Amino acid sequence: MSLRDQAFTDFKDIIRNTGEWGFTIDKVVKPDGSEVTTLVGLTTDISAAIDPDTGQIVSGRHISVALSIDDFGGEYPRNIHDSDEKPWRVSFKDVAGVVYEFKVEETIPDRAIGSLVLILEAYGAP
Amino acid sequence: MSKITTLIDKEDSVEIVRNQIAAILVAERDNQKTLATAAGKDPALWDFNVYIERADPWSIYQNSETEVTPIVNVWIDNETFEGGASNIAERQTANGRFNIDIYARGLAKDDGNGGHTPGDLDAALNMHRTIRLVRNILMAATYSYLDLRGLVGKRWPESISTFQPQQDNQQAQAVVAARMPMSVRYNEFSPQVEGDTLEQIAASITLDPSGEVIQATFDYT
Repeated sequence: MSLRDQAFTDFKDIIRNTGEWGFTIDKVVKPDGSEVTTLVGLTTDISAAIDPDTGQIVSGRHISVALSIDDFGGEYPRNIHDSDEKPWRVSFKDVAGVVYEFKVEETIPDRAIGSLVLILEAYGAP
Repeated sequence: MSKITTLIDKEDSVEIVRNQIAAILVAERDNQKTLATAAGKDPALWDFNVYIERADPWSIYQNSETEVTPIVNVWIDNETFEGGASNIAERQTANGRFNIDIYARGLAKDDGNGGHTPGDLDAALNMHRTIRLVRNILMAATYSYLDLRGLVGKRWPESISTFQPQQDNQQAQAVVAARMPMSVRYNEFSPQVEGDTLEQIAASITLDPSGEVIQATFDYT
């Protein structure tokens, strides 16, 4: 096994370890309505952000989830710009057990180590 | 040793003008919502919250999942004085700049037709709708002097600038902001010297219908 393959394996072990920081993602919904379930990854949902221009902490809400690139069989979640389509949606609980649904706003894949970071946006009822 | 004998407890004109701008926006917003309802339209499209001098009025967007009512914040930026149109004792002609900041949030959501409304587009359209209402209200002919004729000489919108969200620091809430600085020309007044009564002179006369003085008293004591 090459070091790159080993890095990919180690990455998946880390993000899918529910005994440590791995967290169950309720579901990822594709634009066509089909769902991908039983995913485990790393989630963040914090109300603080760093202003890239000044480096100062500013108020905001930054939500993201890190998954493995092979969780989706080649078609990654991405931002759907076209308003005629449904977006990719991700649902997971906070530590209090409250379920939130988000829209995928930006996708940051690392095809070398196999990570897929999804930057999420609040998604509401119609 | 102090020389001002009266308590300074009145608002300066700059504060009065700021409060009046906010009061006009609130009054006309409520009337617009009533008119919209009467016209069978959704009054929420004419709704916005008005604040003065708030540093972070948008915090409600952070703490609520669904709050999308636009926010208008009126605050005093600066005040300059025209020496040539003022006097050193009583009245100074001032030009105040009042920043009228608009924040609008958009929410990505299903549109019920198989697609969705992008949050960034929703936020931008909400913001432009609100700045449209603010500009139309404050520049309406009936508010040429902000209902403060005698105090306000002119009001004028300097510009409208929009602020785009940062692309390299994506937030979960789609919020777009705009600013319309408004210049207002008005007078500022200051405490005057209270004179001492040195001598009181009074005269009274009584006239008959022909205009003849039939009685006069003159007190020169």
